[in-house]
Amino acid sequence: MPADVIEQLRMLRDVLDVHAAPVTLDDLRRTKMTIQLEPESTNVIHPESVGHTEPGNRWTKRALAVAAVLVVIVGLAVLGRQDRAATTPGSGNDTPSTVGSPDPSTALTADELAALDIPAGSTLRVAKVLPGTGTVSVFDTADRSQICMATSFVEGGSSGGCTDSGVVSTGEYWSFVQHSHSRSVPALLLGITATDIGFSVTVNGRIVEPDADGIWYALIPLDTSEFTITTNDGSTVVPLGHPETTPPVVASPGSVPNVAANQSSTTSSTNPPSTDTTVPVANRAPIAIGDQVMLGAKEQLESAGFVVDASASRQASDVIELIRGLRTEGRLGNTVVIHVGTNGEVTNDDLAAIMTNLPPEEVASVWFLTDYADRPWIAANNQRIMALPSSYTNVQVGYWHAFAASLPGMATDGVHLASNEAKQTYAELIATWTGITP
Amino acid sequence: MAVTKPYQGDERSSAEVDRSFSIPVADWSSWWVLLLMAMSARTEGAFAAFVREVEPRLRQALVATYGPVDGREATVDALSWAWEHWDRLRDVRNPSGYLYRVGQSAVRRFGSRPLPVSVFRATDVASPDLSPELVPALARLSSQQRTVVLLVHAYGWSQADVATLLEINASTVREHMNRAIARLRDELEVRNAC
Repeated sequence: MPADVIEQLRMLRDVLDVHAAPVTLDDLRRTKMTIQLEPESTNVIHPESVGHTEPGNRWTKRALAVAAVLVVIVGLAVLGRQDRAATTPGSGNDTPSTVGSPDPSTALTADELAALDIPAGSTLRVAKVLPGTGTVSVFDTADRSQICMATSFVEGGSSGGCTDSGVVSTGEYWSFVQHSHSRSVPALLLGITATDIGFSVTVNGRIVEPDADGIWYALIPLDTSEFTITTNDGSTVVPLGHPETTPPVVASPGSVPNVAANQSSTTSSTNPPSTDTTVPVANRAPIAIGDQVMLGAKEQLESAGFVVDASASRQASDVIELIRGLRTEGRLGNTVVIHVGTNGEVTNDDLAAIMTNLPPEEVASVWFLTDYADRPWIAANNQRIMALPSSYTNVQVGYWHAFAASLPGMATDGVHLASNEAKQTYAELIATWTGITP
Repeated sequence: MAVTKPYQGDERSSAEVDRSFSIPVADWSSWWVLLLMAMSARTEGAFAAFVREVEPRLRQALVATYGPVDGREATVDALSWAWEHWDRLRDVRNPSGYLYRVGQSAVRRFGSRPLPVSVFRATDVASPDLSPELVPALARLSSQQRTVVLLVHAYGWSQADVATLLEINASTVREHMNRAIARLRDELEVRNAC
């Protein structure tokens, strides 16, 4: 009989101590490279410092610092002797600065940051993050194909923008929201990355756990009016705006067309959905193609109006062939949903091969769902999937991995949909994302 | 009285020197060098004392979050950063918590290893006394849950100390801990039953 969990944790300490010996000053002296790090709570971004790493070591820096002080002293002495003669060389102007982290006083102001004209889809760099003094504003967008974010973590001002991809850079505060106006299912998706361990998100009184990458996601019911972000300095209540009352702050010039809204009206036709080739494309049923995860919700998806082709152990290569066949037979409609990757790697070549048969002139809306499983290829798969909208104008991403992490009713393997609630949520999420109404 | 004659380099003579200075330049420099050397020695002593005080708990916290390999490496980086920014750190209210976040940044800069893989590999802490499912289950916890449950139950920290280091509420610490224990029990029981 194994010991209780708590007893095992106590025993674990001895093992950890063996593998993580104390760090001594000698260990530090053996450190060759200067560590160019800033705690996120005081992180500053300067145009010249973005992505820049200073070489050298701390002893060199100390020597430079001492030399700089000496130069100043000698300069001052000479200055004094010359009574601050204007032509004195070696004054403070020639003093080498201590290299390293940028001076907070040089951090960008909000205006300066805005002047950088960060293009849509790029990573927003935040200058001088001050937890507790900033706020997050999350705006719904009428165009659901667009993920809009607006942050105001910059001291004394705000900055924001919209990104049409879901790419998140580590260590940045980031938020986005997706919102469906047509269904009363949880459809808002919030994602925030924060490296501050004191950062937490509360939705409707419930603390939301971050995922393994430090990203907070939450299923937010549509009637939720606000959520709370708590930092070291206190709590900030963040209102959730609506498009009718709170327009998006910045329009994204690179955003994809609002194809989902268009096809929503087409599928609400009174004609029953069909993939019959004799039926006009606009009236053909949306097709959902997936692996065993989707298979678990086949019944619910079919009830929602999808034609489902899902099977266990399916790989990306199977999907390529399947879609090629559907296209050849003229059975593709306006909407295709693809959820694959649970069972193996989905390469960029696989994705390109799939998209070759789903051109925007034939398929207006292709939804790829991210993968969720405790398997080594998942993270890379998701990165590739999330990058798709930047290459294909008809592709949008459903962030299944964000929802699955906190979804009740998942199987103990963390992959399959176990409960009816989980299956129903899975189907409703897809229906919401795609705008399909039964 | 101000001297307005411009600097003339090596050509200056004692007659041109402002007599109001009673200490020669060389003496000034020597005095400052001695002072700087004394200050440097004093700083190193203070930093060594700081490391002795902070290192054990900083290492435990980072190991709890990132496992023994990355956690110790992050501790080295965080303390190196502390030495480079010693003047700034002395005024920080919670230096351990501050350096913990520096260590977090360090782990993220370690490179291309994806986080879920780098966190708490079973091979890092293999032991015949432990359930083989314990470490994988720990790795599946959220970062905060893992940190809290290990600090409290493996390293024996009080919940208040964890809250102080992580700068979160004690109630949040309690919630993370309870959830983590429940999940670990659930996972270990399920696996053992299989």
